[in-house]
Amino acid sequence: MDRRDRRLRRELILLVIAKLILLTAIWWLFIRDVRVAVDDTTATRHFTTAPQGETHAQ
Amino acid sequence: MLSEELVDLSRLQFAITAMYHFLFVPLTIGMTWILVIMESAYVMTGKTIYKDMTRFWGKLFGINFALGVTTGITMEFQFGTNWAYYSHYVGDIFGAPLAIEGLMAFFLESTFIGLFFFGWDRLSRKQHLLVTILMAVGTNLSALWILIANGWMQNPVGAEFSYVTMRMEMVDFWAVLFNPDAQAKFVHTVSAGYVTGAMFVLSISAFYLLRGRDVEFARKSFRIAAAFGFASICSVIVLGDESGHPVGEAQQTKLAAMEAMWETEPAPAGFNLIAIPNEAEMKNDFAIEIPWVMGIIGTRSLDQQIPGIKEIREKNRERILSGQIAVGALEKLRKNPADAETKALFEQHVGDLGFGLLLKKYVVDVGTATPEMIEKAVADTIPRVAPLFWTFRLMVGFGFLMLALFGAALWYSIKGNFADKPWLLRAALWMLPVPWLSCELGWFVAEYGRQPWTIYGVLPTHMSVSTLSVGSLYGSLAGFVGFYTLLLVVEMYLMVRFAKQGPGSLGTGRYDNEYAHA
Repeated sequence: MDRRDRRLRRELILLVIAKLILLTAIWWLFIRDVRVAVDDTTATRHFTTAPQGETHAQ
Repeated sequence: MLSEELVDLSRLQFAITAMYHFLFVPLTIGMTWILVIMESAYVMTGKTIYKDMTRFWGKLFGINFALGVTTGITMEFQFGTNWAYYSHYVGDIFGAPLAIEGLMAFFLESTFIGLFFFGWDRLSRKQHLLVTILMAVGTNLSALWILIANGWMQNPVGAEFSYVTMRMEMVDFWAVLFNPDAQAKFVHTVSAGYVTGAMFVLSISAFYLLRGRDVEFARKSFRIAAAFGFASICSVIVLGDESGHPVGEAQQTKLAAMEAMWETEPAPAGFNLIAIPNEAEMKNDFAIEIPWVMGIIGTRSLDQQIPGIKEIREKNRERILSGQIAVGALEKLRKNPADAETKALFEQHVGDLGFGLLLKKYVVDVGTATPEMIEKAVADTIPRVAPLFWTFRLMVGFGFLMLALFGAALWYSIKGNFADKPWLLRAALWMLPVPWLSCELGWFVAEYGRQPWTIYGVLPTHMSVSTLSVGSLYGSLAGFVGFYTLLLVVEMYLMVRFAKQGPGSLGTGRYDNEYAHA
């Protein structure tokens, strides 16, 4: 493997790692605590006459 | 009722992430088969230049793959956060192809991509070619499962609603698998990916030829891209027409909207080449019509009618009234599942349950909906005509533009004088973004044209959205946009850097520019 190939491989590995870190950060900041639990009871409320489905932000 | 801002933000977030994701996907799909062709030429002829071509274009493919991988994960995040009711309602069906796609992508596609890059010195020629073929098959199979899931959203077959679990349940896996909409969508979409790959190779090869560098390498690459691209664009156009046929059967609303067909015309209907749709008065202020064409494309017959928007609205009004009864019966059944009379009533109207749910946008208890609310819900069943009409025509126009380019490229490749046609090389270079634009436009037509539904006729979009705060959606939207923009900038930087270096980046000593960027 030539020097430039090694450099590209290093850059791509770093990029994928950075991407995973960023994705984890996005998940941590915006997704982790926003859990919307839906079961047949909440679905019934949502799809029939109740005002709204429930939000279970924790 | 959910705020429209919440629904719009959830839709915008999903649209942005999906469109970013699909910048990477078609190139991956298309490049795999071009690599198979190049490596097959190497195995058959033993000429080193074909191996160099496979390795160089494979390097650009690898950059795209490394950047694109995991960009789809944010959509999976959103199914859980922004679309929780959707996930509950249809997860039983939608989840299966998504899970199979995950397995395909991780265990088949990724394994063979790893072997492709690191197997050159460890595998024989034929073994490595087999790896490249399996990489291409894995990539395409991965796309198949996603498109089966999406095809089901367009034409929900093989599933029934259960009032016990309050969700759709799969009753026929094979109907989901062989859904005609999914199959037509799959072949159309992967063919568009092949065109993208071919245009990528054609454009960069044209760039080398215009610069007069790496001429033999560029000539061979250009020829392969021209032939593969021409076959692929023919396939896109023919299969696009084919996918218009199931659209005609399963989603007449989308077809009528994208053709600005307000009235049901006598068969075979004409095709509006150009029109200025007037949505308020439900007519076209101006139109140039080609007789018969729409009827033949949409029905494959001369005597079958295609319903116009006004007729569809009338049918939908009936379905909304029937859906009102279904929602009322569902509510009673949830309180008393043993009520046989209500169960019979529900089963009679369950096919229109989704239409009843359209009223939830305007009233909590759909049974008390006023005639004005019903009228608004009827109007909602038709997506906005002008954006669909023009987006579709732009996509088709780009398709025919690419047909002309690949046709000319193939013609002069056969004649052997394409390198002496600077106009052709410049056209090939400047048309590099066109397949990506076409792909994005195609997805817009498919998804915007399905509105107001997430699952056509079953689940309205506004009922699919989670009850989140608008602030949290703005936050995650900003996070996603920042993340994808960063990826796109890095991708463009790496692609431009290695494309400019050309095959000299392989360090074989056989190409121009060998040490300029060392």
